Amino acid sequence: MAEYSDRKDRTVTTWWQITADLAKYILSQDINHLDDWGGKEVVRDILPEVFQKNFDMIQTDLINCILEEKNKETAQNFVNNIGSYVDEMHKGLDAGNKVCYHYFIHSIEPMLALDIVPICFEVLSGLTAALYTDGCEEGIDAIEGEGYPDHLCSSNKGAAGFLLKGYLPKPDMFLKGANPCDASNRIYEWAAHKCKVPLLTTETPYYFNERAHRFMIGETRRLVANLEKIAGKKIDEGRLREYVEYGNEAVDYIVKIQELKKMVPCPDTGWHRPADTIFMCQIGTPHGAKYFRDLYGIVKKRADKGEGVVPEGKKERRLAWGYTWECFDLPFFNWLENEHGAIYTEDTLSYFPADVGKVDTTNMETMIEGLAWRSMQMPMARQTMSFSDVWINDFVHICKAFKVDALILGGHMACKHYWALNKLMSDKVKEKAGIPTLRFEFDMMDKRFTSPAELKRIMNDFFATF
Amino acid sequence: MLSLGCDVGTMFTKTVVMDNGNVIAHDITRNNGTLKELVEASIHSAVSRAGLSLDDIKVRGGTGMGDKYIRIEHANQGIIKSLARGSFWALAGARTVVDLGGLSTTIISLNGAGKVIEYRTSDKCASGSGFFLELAAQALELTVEEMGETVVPPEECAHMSTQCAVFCESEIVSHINDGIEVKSIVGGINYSLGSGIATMINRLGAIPAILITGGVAKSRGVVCALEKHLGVEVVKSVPADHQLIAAVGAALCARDVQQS
Repeated sequence: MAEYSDRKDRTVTTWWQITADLAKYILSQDINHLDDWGGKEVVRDILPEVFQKNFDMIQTDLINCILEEKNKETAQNFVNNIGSYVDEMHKGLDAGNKVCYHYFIHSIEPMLALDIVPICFEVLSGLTAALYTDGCEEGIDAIEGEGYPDHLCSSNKGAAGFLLKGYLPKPDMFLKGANPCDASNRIYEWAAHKCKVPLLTTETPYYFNERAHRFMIGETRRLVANLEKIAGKKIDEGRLREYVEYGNEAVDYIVKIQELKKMVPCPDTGWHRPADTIFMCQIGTPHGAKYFRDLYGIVKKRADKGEGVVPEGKKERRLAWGYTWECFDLPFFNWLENEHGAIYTEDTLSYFPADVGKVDTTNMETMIEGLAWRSMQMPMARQTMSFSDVWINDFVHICKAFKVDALILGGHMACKHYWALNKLMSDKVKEKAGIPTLRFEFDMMDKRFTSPAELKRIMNDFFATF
Repeated sequence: MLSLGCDVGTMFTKTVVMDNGNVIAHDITRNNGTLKELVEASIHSAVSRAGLSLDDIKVRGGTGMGDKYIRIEHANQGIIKSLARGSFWALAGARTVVDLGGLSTTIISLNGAGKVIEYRTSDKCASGSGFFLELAAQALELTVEEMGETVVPPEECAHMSTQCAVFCESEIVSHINDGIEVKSIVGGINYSLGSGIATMINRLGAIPAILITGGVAKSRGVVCALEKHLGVEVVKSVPADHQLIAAVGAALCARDVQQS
């Protein structure tokens, strides 16, 4: 059995590490539901002692969801790579490497090549919200106790609160791109101020033309120079190439999986869509590449057999989520498949335009240029750069290309930029794709805003209209 | 074909009995008491008014917030679906349905074939609902019907700064203490409600024909104020009581399933 750290500043990452091992253990049993093993209480007593406390924290519905036959392989893929992610992170911390808490849209290859440990702030909140019954609410409440209101973004607040409570490693720097919103910029500024470390920033251009790309190249060069200064060394071209190649591989598989999801029936399950976003924040790492490579294998296998993921006899209803998933209740997406035959094609936070292309690894300059281009296209970075048309056009395209039956515009309540365009998107999709839309609010990471039961009620009402 | 529809709302239970798409009997019962018993009584009342027994009606649809209190065998139809179906029955050209219910307002956009394109429900606030009007009527010592019949030109309406069901009472009391005429206060309340409902409609798009359903549709004051804010007329005349539309929809949806 693995040894787990009892350091307070690794509280959150150690939770994940134990959860990953615990999930592997449960998935190795020949069961499809905890009841097959005697029910939750019985299972707890059977488990090795080291897992019991963590087992109490995990959402029971999530365990039962990943034990479903159709979800087992994707679940194994998810937990294996979460385990690798934490192991790598802890190794870097043990080596005394510098730590950078960064926003999720940034390319992390330059940090990896400089032996900086990249920790994505939003993944900290999101993964914790996804796994545990209490989510990242302890962190959210801690930061709200500092005076931050409940209508700011929980994806920043959860992690900031954990940092405040000492549950995370001490940072050496923060990194935040200018988009999507001023409110998240301010929280990063607060966190850097509180931790007395530098805040690195990158500006954002408008659109995807040559001028914008040139601007972003300049910003990427400036960022690399700042990272080098803090790391106390120059970036090694060979090491950067190694990580960029992992990144290219991951992007290649992401685009291939997207193509498979256009098939009818859709061969990919929806419960792991937030996990896909989590691993998009790991593009450039070996486990990031492995996650998407293995996911592609699972989806391709099903596609080759012409299999879908909705129960036999149910009509497949193809949904796109015009903004985002919620991640406090991953089994919700599995419930949509099982109850309503509703599959999950794409959303803003997992959609990668197919023409992003690979980063040219010829030399340092081409890699900087390619990373700059890719970081402009990262989910959400792409849609929130400037005006609404990119976001809206993306979804008109998605609704047509993925043969979508309805666009779900579930909006994270904190995202003012989204709420400012939601009607434009709804109207345009109805007009161009001729499909119904559904608009409602939730908080991506805090179930106290719109509860899982309320989400189900909303969806039941919606599907009753079909 | 005989069918029955029951809509258990937050303030009223509505039951219809239909024969070949026509309402032949109905019942509207206020939800005062044990819901399970009220619902049963409403169903039996409508059925007996139709001169039938429950066993005569095999096709039964239920809807509304309290659908779970319908203990007879029936198919749940969902409130949005029922409202859409009932509205399309009431007016085949309806493109926007505005349901002004006991505790919520629902706006539904329909395409030309009666299919739901989008909808919005004000389910977190009683503003603009029947409950709001009852609170206001109590504070003014009027009946809801008296309030509904009061139509006042906008320039004569007292200014209401809140649409909140909780805070409006104190504002009404302030207006009374300031000596403002009751008629003006009522006009102000209706005008303020009309404004809130119009805003909700505009979020989806006020595409004519706009059909008003639900109990508050009976308030001439609110409907006139709504028309002023929207700048278009709404359809006020339907082949059944406005309050029955969701129940009619539930009955028709159940019948549609039976026939398909």
